[in-house]
Amino acid sequence: MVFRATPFEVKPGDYITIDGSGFSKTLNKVYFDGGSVLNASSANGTSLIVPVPALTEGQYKVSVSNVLGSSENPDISVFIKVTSTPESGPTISSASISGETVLLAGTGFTTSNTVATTLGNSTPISASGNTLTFRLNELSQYEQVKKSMLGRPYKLVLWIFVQNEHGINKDPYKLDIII
Amino acid sequence: MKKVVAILILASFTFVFLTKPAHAQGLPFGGLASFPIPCTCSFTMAVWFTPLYLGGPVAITGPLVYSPYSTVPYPYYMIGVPGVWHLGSYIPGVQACWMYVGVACVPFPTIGLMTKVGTSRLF
Repeated sequence: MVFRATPFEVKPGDYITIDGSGFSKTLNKVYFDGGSVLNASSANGTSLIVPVPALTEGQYKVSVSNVLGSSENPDISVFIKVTSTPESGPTISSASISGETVLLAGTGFTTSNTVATTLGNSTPISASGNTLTFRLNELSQYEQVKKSMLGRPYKLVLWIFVQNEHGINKDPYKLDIII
Repeated sequence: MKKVVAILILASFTFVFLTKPAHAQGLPFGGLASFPIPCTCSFTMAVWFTPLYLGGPVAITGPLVYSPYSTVPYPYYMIGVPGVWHLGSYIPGVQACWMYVGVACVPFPTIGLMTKVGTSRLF
């Protein structure tokens, strides 16, 4: 099973880390759009590090096979983007909350971000380079959770991802809130 | 004779409760399910609870993961059904839920992984 390949944007010769499960300690075959096969071993069975082969620019589906089977799944496709000018995906260095508005500070925010959290997804209300703001009450599952609280305040851990055309932050940012 | 029996009973309790760490089978939890969240990449299911009791007096809200591969279910098997009470044990901090976002799967952090769970009836 393949979960992700990071970084998302790469150029030929860069190394990517493939996270997943069921990798062989001795021999795995890594495919890019079903071709350009590379052999790789995994020390822990959950990650592989491979170089990006000489591919032309574009988006490529990454898959892995070994004696246990193949990661091919029509519902879940993990991609990398090969480009001559790779950019880093977003990172979040701090977060604060004021009322219903969450302010993120970090890097790599663009004009087309999606915020994914433990309370669901939303589109930010604004983003520019190093800051991004979104509203809690616009998260897809906020109303459902709020309704179940019957008017009482509860402590909640909100984990935050930001995704855009350059990728997604690798580790979620943790924000303790009361709603 | 009574003294010997009392000592034997006390020793048995000591053996059972002191030699077996409580966390070996998980920590206790109990809560009311608000809604299920499918973990699209890991084929598990996060269940959002409000309120959620983790062994102390303070109730919180948040998700725990049910895994068909490692969670032992008990009657009435209504896991994740909104409005159903759940009682069981969990291991904190286990990353058992991955979700698909755009071009890859990301870890969906939860409070932990249920090791066993039983539920109330729906009504």
